[in-house]
Amino acid sequence: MHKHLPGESLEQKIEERLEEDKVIKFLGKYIVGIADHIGKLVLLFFQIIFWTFRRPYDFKNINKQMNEVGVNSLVVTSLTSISVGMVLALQMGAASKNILGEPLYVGTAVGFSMVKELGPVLTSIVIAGRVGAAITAELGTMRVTEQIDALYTLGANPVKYLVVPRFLSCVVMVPILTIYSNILGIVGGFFVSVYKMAIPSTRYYHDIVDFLRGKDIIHGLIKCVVFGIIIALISCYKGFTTEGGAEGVGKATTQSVVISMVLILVTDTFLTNILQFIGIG
Amino acid sequence: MIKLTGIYKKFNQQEVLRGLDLTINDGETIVIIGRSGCGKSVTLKHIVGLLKPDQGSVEVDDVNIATLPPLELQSIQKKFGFLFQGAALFDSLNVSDNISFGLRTQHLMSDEKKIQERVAECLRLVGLEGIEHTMPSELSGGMRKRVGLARAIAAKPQYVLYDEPTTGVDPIMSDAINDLIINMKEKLGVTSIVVTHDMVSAYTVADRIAMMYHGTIQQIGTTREIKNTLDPVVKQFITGTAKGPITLEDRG
Repeated sequence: MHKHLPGESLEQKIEERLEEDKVIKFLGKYIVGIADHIGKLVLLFFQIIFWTFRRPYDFKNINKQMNEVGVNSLVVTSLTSISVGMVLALQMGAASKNILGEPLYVGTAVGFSMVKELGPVLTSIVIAGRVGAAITAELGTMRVTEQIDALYTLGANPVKYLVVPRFLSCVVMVPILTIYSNILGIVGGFFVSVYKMAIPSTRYYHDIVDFLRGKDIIHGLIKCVVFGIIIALISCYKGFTTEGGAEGVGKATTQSVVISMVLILVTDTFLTNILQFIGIG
Repeated sequence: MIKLTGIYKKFNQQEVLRGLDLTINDGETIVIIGRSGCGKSVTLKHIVGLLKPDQGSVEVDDVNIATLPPLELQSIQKKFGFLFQGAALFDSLNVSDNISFGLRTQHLMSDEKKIQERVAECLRLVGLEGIEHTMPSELSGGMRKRVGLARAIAAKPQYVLYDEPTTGVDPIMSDAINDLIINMKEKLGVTSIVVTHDMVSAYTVADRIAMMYHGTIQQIGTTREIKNTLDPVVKQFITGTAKGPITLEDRG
């Protein structure tokens, strides 16, 4: 027999129990939902790998997407990386001047930060915003207007025809844009260092090349390949699973950008740890 | 022959198909009628393998496509031409590339000149000559539908599925589309499955008419049998009266 606490009726207890049930049900539904999405993402990833190596290769489409992801992102990548390189040099110069009396190791700070962290992360975030959103919006619109169904009925696999070119473009172009962004960031830092802080150009140069090793560059590149995969997977998946007309396309696009950006930053933490642990960078 | 047996399909707890049985013979034109939202388009998508049933089998030429792996399903899907409700033209491709899309992906033709001839021929059939290089965004709703129709028949499929072919086109073009459906059957022996609420079109093209209600087939029969039906549900639908067993809230 249950003993009731004073002031607590059986009805109250039942109500509390039902509330607990609700919480458990809600949490359960949420967890099952996430597991479902992760499962489908992994499945999509394997489908992409399968269709990537299956002939015929759609070079025309791949070329078009490479252009869209790479060439058309040049301006926005240039602007962000030059600005970040400059601001890094300014901050590092000011900080070392305050502490040590003169701007020291500005090149080293700019070089390391750009190559290992800011180059890959910033480029990927810019691409997630620019290209990821466009991919989700385009595929989402195709989904709600039955164009993806139409592809099936015309004997074309949508993963092969739509996803593979976008995936390859992201995986190839994000690293290339990152290298470009690294260079521009360092150049931006160079201008600030030489023309504003009067650091000799050879010093800036040696601050970078004397300390930066090949594996530091590889560290950054491995990260941006992973980020490229994240952007392509999330944006294509969100586009393919869009429901509910124009409103649904809007929602899916927002979710795609937010999820990609958060995943890039979270993955970056883990990946940096792992790469340092195995001695790359 | 297409044979659907005991099809059940649910979307988010809502049961759309509840044990649907339907057999479509080769060379016939079957028209599926029913209220909006009663599962007609869902049935079409099951026939072509775009949706998989929760229960039941869909046999196309004695192959159950409900359990077929994707690659084999793709080869069966080549037998079908599908005209979508909103035409579903590819926005990034012009009219010519839209129509020739299936010919290229299925490697039915490799000679560019022959492909262009086929595109022109299909456009002529739907009364839209000379718009090969127009983009879909520049076309009116009715024209998009006709280009969709041209794309559906370009690869000379064995089965053509029409999802509301006459909705949104003017009455004259609607009649021309009816003629086209009849011609496809008479000249090429195509099996057509037409989903529509347009009773004039249904009576014109159908060999048999199937009325869907509550996720199953309420009645199936020849045009004459349906016209003279005693079933109150079918009678109410074909005469288009608001009063009867089907209420306005009842989605069928």
